[in-house]
Amino acid sequence: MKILPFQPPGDQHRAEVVYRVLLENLDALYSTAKRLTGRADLAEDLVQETARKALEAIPGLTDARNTRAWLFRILLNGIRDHARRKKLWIEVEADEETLELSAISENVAGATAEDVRRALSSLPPETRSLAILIDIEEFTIAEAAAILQIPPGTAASRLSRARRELQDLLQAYRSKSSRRGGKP
Amino acid sequence: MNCSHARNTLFPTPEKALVTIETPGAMGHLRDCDECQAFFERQRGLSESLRTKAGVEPAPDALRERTARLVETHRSAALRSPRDRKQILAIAAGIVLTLGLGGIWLASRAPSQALFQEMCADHAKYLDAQSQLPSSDAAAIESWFVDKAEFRVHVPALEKSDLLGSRLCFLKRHKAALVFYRKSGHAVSLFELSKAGVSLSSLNRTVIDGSPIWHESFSGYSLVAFENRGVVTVLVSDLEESELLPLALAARRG
Repeated sequence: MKILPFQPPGDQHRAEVVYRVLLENLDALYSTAKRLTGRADLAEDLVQETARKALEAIPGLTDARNTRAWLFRILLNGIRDHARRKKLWIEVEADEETLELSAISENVAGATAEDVRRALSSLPPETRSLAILIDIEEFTIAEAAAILQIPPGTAASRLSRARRELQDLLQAYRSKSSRRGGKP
Repeated sequence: MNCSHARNTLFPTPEKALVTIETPGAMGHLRDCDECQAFFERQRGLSESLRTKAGVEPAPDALRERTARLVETHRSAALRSPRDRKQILAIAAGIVLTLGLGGIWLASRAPSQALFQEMCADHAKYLDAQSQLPSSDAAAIESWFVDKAEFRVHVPALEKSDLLGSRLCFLKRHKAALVFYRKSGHAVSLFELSKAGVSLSSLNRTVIDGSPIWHESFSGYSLVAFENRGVVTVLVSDLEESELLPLALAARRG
């Protein structure tokens, strides 16, 4: 009997990449979903739905190199669909935004973890998603733009706005707490 | 290229910025500009602080197990192409012939034995009753399970035991309703799962009040089980088997 060398078929190889990346990124997907929806049960459902859709879409996946970004794109689509139905996510016209850079203060470095999480959850979803994808999940501008299906320039300007708003919020929390602390 | 143009081109940091026709010029400016280097260092610092302070929230065990099962099901289905199916059938036929009836009997016991051991491990893991639904209200727990389990979950009152709450868990591909109790300072886990694919015959069998009840010890934990209307109920605790048995009988009576 002739024994043929084992060669994984293309589809099966792609599938194995998706399985591995999906299971490795379950915490990141869940954290992102929870940060964007504010609800643990909904985050769980959305990640479960992402896994199901990703597995169904494997035959149509032509490039498995950036599977992580692809999974996040499926998740963000699900989150946006849900939020639109509930009127929680209002799209801002992408071409209205320009990049305005501002100075970095010490507000984030000096803030408590709780304040950072609170400030992050106070941002509007369209800027919060950029801070999460680029600052926390470490995607590039190009990847984040592809995940959210917006122009890269818009992604950059929204990230800059998110950082500015975060710093303002943290400054406000700090002022409020020092005012309280200053009282006898 | 001036500082403002270089910073806009390389925002948020040179590693994450979009690569455009202007990137080489901006990188050239950055090499020679201490202020722009400091600007991007502060951007990196901000990103790092946010990442560290926001933290990562681990996915719940139930989600992890559901996803792993989904992947396993998908993988098995993908491997079952028509040609593979013929090969699998041929191999399966060979295995059946080779193993014989004794082997098959042993094979049927092994998964359930592993399932019961997993229940004891799960009980040990959640000794402090980390419930998804902390509640002492049996009716509330039963209704919480309505859209989660394929069968009607019954939460029995156990004598001199406090009801603490419940969670849904996945054990060796079986979905189980888990209800936590505490009796005299000892944690008691009550699992309910569909009888399909569960063999109680690997446990010791005793007939009490005309119906069989199964019991065993694993790693210092007592386990008592019974079956009723297609649902297997298993109690696990570090109580002695003789102390756990009356609770199981009370649960069986309903």
